[in-house]
Amino acid sequence: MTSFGPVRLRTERLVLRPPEENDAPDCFAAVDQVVRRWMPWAQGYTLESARQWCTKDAFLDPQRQTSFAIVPDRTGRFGGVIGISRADWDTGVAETGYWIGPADRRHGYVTEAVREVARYAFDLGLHRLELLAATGNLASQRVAERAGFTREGVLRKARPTPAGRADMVLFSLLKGEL
Amino acid sequence: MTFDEGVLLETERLLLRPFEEDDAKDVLAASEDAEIRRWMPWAATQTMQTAVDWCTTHAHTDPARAMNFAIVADERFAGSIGLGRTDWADGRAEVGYWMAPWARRRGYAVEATCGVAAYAFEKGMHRMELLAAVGNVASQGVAEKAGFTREAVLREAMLIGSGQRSDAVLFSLLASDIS
Repeated sequence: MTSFGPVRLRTERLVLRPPEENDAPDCFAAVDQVVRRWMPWAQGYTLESARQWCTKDAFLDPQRQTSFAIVPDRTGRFGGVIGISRADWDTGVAETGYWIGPADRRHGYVTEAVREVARYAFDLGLHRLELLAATGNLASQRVAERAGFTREGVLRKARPTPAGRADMVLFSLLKGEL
Repeated sequence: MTFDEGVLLETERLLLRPFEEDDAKDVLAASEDAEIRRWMPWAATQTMQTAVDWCTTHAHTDPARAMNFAIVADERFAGSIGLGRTDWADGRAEVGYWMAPWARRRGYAVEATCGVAAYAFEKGMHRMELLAAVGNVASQGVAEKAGFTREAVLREAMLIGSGQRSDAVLFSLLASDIS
């Protein structure tokens, strides 16, 4: 079975690298009302939650998941997170997910990061990358579309959000579609 | 959170119980069936040894992650049904099954699917998923008869018996669909 290692990826305007303890203050600051609206883990988020994530939780279960800090060249600082999760090496299917803080939105950074993470996933041997966005989370759906993902359907009450279980739009990108 | 070890489920006509070593010959026989070989990627390489390994070891995996039941009808081994891809935080798991040739067309797979879904909902799951290859009409019929809703076609999401990839129909059943 393959495993995700701590790697550093580079795009035109971004570095994607493993989170570090020093990212915790920027990570905490990036979790604003928009992030708290959609992310179940962001409820009651504290600086200590951020530190715990940057040093431990982001590195759990490397056979199934990995996380990168999104670091724009423009600032050189932690701006958000992109990851791969639920990797099934037998079927070649995994999922990507992301969030970014207010200071770095509207630059197309997440779209750029998703495409690079997809390339990384396909290079490791995965075949199909899924992406779920709540039906109400239009910004996330736009990222999926701009990154070249195909909308496949709506999964009823598929994921928890702070407002309750949400219907999720399922997108996918296949190896060869990048 | 976890499923339980050693669970027995009873439905109107079926007993769902943990796999036993004695099931291996029936598992091997099923692996030689053309319909099973068409859809199940593991069938082509099945031997008596891999069947025994399945019945004694692999079918008894971490109950927090997965569960497998031998389906017994009229005291005969009738097939297999399991829960996998379990995510307790989401309240979601996937159900999958195959039936021995003699046990098809009797509604056993539907009955077993309903039994396993009821058990999963009892354990706190909210959403059961079921994937069937787009060409596997029998499996899609089971999903529909068991009350699942067709939600999407997942492109190249599944490996089938030929070792090739197939598009898969995603079905789901919510706890709220049946209460």
